[in-house]
Amino acid sequence: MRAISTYVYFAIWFLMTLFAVSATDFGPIGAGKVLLNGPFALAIFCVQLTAFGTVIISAIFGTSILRDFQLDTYQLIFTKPLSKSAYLGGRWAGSMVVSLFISRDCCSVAQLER
Amino acid sequence: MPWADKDRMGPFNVWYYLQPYLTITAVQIFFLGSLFFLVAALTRRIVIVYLQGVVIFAIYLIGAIFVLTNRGLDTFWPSLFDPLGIVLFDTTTRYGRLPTRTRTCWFCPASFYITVCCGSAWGCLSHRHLHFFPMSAEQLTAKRLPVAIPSARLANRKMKNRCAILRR
Repeated sequence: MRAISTYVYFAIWFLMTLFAVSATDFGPIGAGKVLLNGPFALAIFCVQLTAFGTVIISAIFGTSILRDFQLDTYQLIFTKPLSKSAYLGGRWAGSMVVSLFISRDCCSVAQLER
Repeated sequence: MPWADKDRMGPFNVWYYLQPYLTITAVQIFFLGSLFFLVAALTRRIVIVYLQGVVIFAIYLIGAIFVLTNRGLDTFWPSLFDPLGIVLFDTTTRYGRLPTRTRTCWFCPASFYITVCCGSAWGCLSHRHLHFFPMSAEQLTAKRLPVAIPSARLANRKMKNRCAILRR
């Protein structure tokens, strides 16, 4: 959570959702009568932003375990009696929480749109 | 926001935000995250880690555009094998009318639940494959040895050749 990149990703997703809801021509809905904060529009934003977020998901999940091998901290970690499921599960769960936090801003936009 | 078009803003409803987040985003993050984590844990190479997301996104986008522009009438199977849900979403909401689109939440068809099950199964399967992750510093460093041995043999051979030349 101390990494700056997490908050940059969050800001990008936040702004994209904010403009998609508040500016008519920014999002995939465009002109018409469909409500910009209606369920259809919000579901489309979710689908497209998460599809685009594939790149960021790979960056978050991949680097969570790669850092240990880049910085050789795994040699320190393995001196302790640590089980495989605890080590890998912890890394995986941490990445999962960060990814869910980043993509959560679809919901937080709700306060600002009106 | 002051510039927002007030005519196209409906009443606020938390479920409109939570429903796609729980049914689409969380499932996709679980599936893709598990897959990427598996590949990263087993390869441990920075190039693969950063490229896998881009490659999968590019392949998926090509496939999705191909299916969407094809305009086939049988949309069940393309929707079923759609890991990110663009084709599935387009299929299920294509014929929704205006009141449906603005008032009711995204309709989850049976194929969606099958996709979720497949995604979860893939996610669990990738966790199962983490069994191959070597859980000791010795094994992790020993993996590099096969690369070092041929070069050491080569160096030995070169030394022997040099010695032989010198002896002559």
